Amino acid sequence: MSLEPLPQERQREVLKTTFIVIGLWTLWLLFISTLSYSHRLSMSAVAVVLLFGSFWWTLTEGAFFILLMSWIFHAFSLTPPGFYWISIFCVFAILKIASYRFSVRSPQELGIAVLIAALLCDFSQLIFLKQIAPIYVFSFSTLGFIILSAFLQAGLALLLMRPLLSLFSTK
Amino acid sequence: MLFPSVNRQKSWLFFLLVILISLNLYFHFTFSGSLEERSRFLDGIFARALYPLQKLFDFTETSVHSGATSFSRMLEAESENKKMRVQIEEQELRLYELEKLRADNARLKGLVDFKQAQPLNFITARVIGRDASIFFKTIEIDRGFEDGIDNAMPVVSPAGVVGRVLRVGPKASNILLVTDINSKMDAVVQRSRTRVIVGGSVEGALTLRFLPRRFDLRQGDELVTSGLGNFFPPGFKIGVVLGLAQDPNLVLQQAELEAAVDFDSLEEVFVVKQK
Repeated sequence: MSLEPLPQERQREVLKTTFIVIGLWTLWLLFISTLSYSHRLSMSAVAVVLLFGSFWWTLTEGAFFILLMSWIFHAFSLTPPGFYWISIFCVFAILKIASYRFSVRSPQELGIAVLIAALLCDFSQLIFLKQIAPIYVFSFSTLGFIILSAFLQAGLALLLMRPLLSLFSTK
Repeated sequence: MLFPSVNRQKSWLFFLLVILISLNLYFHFTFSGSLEERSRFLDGIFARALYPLQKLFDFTETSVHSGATSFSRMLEAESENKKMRVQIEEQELRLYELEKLRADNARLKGLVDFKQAQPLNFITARVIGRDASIFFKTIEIDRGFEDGIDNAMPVVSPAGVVGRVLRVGPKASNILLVTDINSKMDAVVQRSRTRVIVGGSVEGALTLRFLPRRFDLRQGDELVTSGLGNFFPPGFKIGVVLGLAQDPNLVLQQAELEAAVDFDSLEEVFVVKQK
């Protein structure tokens, strides 16, 4: 006898877990937007949500949920939601493809996965920003802050590795 | 598929997705529209809905921060101290305004069409949030249209110009900082009284671009708002020239400024009510 839950139950679980994760992400955004720290560092933790999504969502579902995330993020940032959606969805698509081949089971893998995903998120935004803002001039200080932010988010993910690893491995 | 009950309408869901994404991209992806137009779409709903939570988070963060830094102080004394600080900042700002008016008066005394600047009115506001993205520079204040805040109002601090009101809610507003890539303003070099355009950047630094090679600008020059365009009041500090980037192969040069305001530690700001 199979212990696998019925597809419909499984789908309900995905929906429930997704809204919990997006809700927690919204609370995290609330927290960091009111926190006193140098806002030259990115702490949005969108990479963690995308990693979760790459294991739990299909590409179409991801498009819907990222649309919702882009509207939520715009409540905390000047970032245009369309710009945010396209840059984050590109990263999600890459992570989705990677999830067919790779898995996240150990703390080291979690740290590396968040580091890479966070780098991809900021780099994709940087690339799109360069396309849409003609006055944008690349500077190495921005690059430094992106790399520092990615390491910081990977470190934070390691602090929360137990719940995160269970999220990534239960799928 | 995530939505089992609507399996038959899969194509409709996909169609809806395409429509939503297209609308989203149309309204927000382009930088050609004005910022105000872009910020009035559906996402404004999220900003309003999340305001009470944000206020709660800000309160919690402030309480924890205050408790950690001033553990030995009495809470009443701390509260009194904060009130006094705001009052001192208000007084400093008014004093600065008076000194500026006196200096302007002396300089413009000989001009025929001199119109004396009227004193400005300020609305004091507390910074309750900052932009979650590293690519854009905005802050959120705890005053909205119920307090008399309106779009495009200039925002200053005793140290200098902060930005302008971008999105107004009933009890909170978003301020576009002068360091944001979307921000540009007319400025005057104090030493030479020549006009320049100061803009923001992705990394949050103030820059002067498209300066002619022979433009009279030196390291340490102070820049203030010109007041042209009737947008920012004249004479408010913007920053000091850090250095010039001169490339012999280029016709134009650019300069970087050190902002007069420390945006990372900004706690209170003053929204200027025009005359």
